[in-house]
Amino acid sequence: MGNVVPLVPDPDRGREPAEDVSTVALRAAQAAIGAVAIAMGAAAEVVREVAGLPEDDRPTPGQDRATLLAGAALGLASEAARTAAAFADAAVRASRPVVIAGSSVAAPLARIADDLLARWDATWQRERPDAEAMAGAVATEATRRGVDAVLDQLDLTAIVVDRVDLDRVVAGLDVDELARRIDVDAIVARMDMDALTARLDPNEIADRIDVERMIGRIDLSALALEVIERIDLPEIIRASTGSVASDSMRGVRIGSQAADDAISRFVDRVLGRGRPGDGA
Amino acid sequence: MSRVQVVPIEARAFQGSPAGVVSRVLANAIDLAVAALLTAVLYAGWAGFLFLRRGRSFTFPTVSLTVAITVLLGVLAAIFTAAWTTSGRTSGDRVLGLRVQRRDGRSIGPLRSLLRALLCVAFPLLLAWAAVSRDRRSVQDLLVGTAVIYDWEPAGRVASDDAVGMAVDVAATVADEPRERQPEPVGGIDGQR
Repeated sequence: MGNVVPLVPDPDRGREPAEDVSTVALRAAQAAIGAVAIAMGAAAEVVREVAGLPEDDRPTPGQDRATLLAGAALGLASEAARTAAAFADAAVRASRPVVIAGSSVAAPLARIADDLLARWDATWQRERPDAEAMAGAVATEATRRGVDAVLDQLDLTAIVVDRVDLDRVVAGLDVDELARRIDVDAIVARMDMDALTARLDPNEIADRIDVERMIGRIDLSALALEVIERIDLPEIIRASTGSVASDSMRGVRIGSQAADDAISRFVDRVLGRGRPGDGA
Repeated sequence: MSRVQVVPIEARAFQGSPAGVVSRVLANAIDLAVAALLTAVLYAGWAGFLFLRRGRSFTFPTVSLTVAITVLLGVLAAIFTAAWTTSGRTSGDRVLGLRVQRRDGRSIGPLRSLLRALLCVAFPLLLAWAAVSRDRRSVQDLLVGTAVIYDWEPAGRVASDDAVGMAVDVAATVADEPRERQPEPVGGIDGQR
């Protein structure tokens, strides 16, 4: 990284523009160096992690990567340097007339700087593919870790609660459509109805029901009569009391009535009458 | 349907229709047996009375057949009259589920009952016309203007008509009662709320 430094302070190149160019170049170089330092640290860690290595470096596979890391650092540095050089070059060109007129010392210095830049550029061109790939990986991992770190620090739920107008979000939802998508049968099938009913207190439910009001709405007498009619209560009473007397009396009545009909039919037939209302 | 029907389902179809000759003969037979029993009781009573009067010289009174039959028929006529006047049915009618009424369905009065009873006792065979008659009416029925119907209701139809009215009244009262009471629980609910 030391090789970048000489490029930066070059105040002799020109008075007015060189002042700006050198400042910009200095800042660019500083930023590049910082980035390279951070990237190298992060890259080393990422490489260890990706390779599944423990914290301490292992010598054999580490060497290759050390080279690669150096290349990456160099590539980034070269990039920064080239940018700075481009700026400087532009500045030199802009201030050349002044330089030539002012001093002849500037010419050899410029040539030395050009050579230096050309060498670095060649190095950069050679290292570029590996360095770029490595830098990309580093950037990706760094971004991921950075985002993770940021998210760790943020309480997203609280932020959503504070900042998001949930009412508006909900208003935009088609709840009917959602409900239509829900398979209620499946949910019910998953429920343990026995446990559910075991939790219910029938007495409490019964207490809440206003039985008197319900009864008030019912025509009890009509209902009772209908029920009695349907179940043939007289028959039940007869059967339950087992009254032989009433049973035999019924038999006598039914039998005599049948005999009445039989005689009526016989007489009708004898007299050649049609069937008048036997039971009319 | 305003009251419980006591009549069995299988017998409901012919309730109120004219009763045939078999049922009526059976009923009369029962009545005759009852009358005979009553006559025997009368004889026993008369004998007891004589025993108390004569003491040691008591012998059972001898009764000629004519007197016996006359008394029997008199008792029978008395039973008929009393039964038809009051409930429209004798003991035999009760057993067979019959009732005597006027043609228009009203109960028969004492005069009509007496006339019918005398006719029935004097000319029992005229009952046979009920077997021939198209509407199952005996000669007595034709003369007095009565009819015998199947009526299994224990209280009898006329009485049961009253009972129906009573039942309806009771039902109406019962039905009215909750309606009157209805605001009360509603008020209670509101109070709870």
